[in-house]
Amino acid sequence: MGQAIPPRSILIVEDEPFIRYDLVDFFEDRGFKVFEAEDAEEAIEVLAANASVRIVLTDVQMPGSMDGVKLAHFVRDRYPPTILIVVSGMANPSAADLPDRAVFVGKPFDPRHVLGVIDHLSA
Amino acid sequence: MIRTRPSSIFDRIVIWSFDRPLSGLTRYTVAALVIVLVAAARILFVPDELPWLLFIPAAIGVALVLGQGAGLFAAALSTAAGALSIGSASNDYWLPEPQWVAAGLFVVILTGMVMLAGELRESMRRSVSLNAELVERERSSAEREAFLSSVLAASTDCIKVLDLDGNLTFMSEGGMKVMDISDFNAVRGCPWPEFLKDAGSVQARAALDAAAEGRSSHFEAAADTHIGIPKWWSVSVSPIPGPDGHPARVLSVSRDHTALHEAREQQQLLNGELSHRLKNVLTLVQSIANQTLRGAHSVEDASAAFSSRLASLGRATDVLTTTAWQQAELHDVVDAGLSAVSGMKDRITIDGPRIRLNSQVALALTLALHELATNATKYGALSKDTGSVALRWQVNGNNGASCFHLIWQERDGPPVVRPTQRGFGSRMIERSLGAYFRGRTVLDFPAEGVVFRIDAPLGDTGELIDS
Repeated sequence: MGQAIPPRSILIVEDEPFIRYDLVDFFEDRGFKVFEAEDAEEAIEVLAANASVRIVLTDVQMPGSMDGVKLAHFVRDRYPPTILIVVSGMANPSAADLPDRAVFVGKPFDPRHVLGVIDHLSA
Repeated sequence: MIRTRPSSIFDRIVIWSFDRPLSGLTRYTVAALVIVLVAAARILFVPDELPWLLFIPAAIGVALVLGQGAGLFAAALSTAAGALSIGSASNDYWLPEPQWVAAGLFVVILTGMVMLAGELRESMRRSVSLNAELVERERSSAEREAFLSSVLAASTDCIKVLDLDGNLTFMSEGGMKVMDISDFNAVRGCPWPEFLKDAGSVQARAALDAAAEGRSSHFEAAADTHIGIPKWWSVSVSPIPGPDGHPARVLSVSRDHTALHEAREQQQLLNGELSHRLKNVLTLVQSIANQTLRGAHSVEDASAAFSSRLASLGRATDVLTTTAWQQAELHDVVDAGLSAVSGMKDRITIDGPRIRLNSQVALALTLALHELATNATKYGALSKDTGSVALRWQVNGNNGASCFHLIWQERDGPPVVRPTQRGFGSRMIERSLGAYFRGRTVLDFPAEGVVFRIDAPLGDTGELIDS
């Protein structure tokens, strides 16, 4: 890991711990600083405390009052430049439901594909 | 108006005779007897100046009651009897000349009257049989009407007749019942398509247009009953041809398909739910594969470990399927998690109350128990014949703040050596399970045997089942 470039920070929001840890491992292995949250509330706390996070990967179905789509809208409003990846095992939400420039990926997905999307959007 | 009973005595006698047909011989014998009796009465009570008078009503009566043939016979017999009774051998030709003229006139007039009476009898017979036919026809038509209306009333379909503009002109009794209409006058003349909601009224108009052109059609749509209960209907619309063969009215039959519609929606929902779960399970499998491969020493090791993990996940799936993926009982989860060591049941003590776990936690615990059991057979207490395992759990505290404690304790196995590398099992057991239970998990390696503990609030993860 080169010292000159600070690591990119990503927040992974997924309520199933085992799947969350696997994604954490994947992005950590590839040099990311990874934050995790099990629901939208925790995600908002993490974002408030860590201004460096510019990438958010969130599941749609989560317990709590806010689902992943609502969280994505919140993030887009509050931190407009954030790269948003929305994932779900449900059918694709319509583009109208998602905030601007959010990318939907169906579950299960290849994290390498998501990485490619992130690289493309950060370029 | 059809007469079912004769009104006059005359009618009754004649009709009475229709109902009792006599043979030819009997009729002629009776006619002869009547005329002989009349002749005797004539001789006894009526002066010779009026020899014919009594025979006229007798012969007409015979013709009416016994028919034209017997009447003519009676007429002939009357003439003979009359002539016989007033004649005398002193005349040249039995009767004086004027009486011959009278006899001739008598026979002609009486024959005419008898023939008229005979015709009257025949026309009465025709009228009686026509009447019977009409009565029969009316009875069968009333029967048919009663049959049709009982069929209409018995049907639970809503059967309606509309004019070509789609206004209600008739609704079956059963239809009024299913539509919660107590008085048809409340809806008579109302435009039927407006009963249907949204797309349904458009479809109804299209069906009416089709019916006006002589075509039948079918559609399904939502409509509230008269008192506002929402229902789903399967509707068939067809033309009723008029006398000229062109559509004159429209038949609309609606069947209550609410239950079927709900079942279909439920099925669609279930299919969506199933697809969602399937994808979640695939994602979980993907994570298990990734994590298995991360710590693998060889492809063979990884393959074996992955297969056995999938097998335990499969068992957990069986447990969850019985409750539609809502929850699982802890004993069943333990059975699924320990299925790899089911041959060593006698060396594993299992003790704890019945607890319902949510599906996520149940799957995670199954995988964790699978790892503990597999490690125990490879390196721990179950790798030696002397070793044993105790798996116990309990719930402390009341429902508001109850705490779940589970302990897996191995003993009498080979001396434990703390592993140098944290593999899938340790990560699964320590890191993930703690998060699933939202509590504390500890995996410890004292020399006398591996110990694993869960201490967690029972809140969202499960609940104690009262036994």
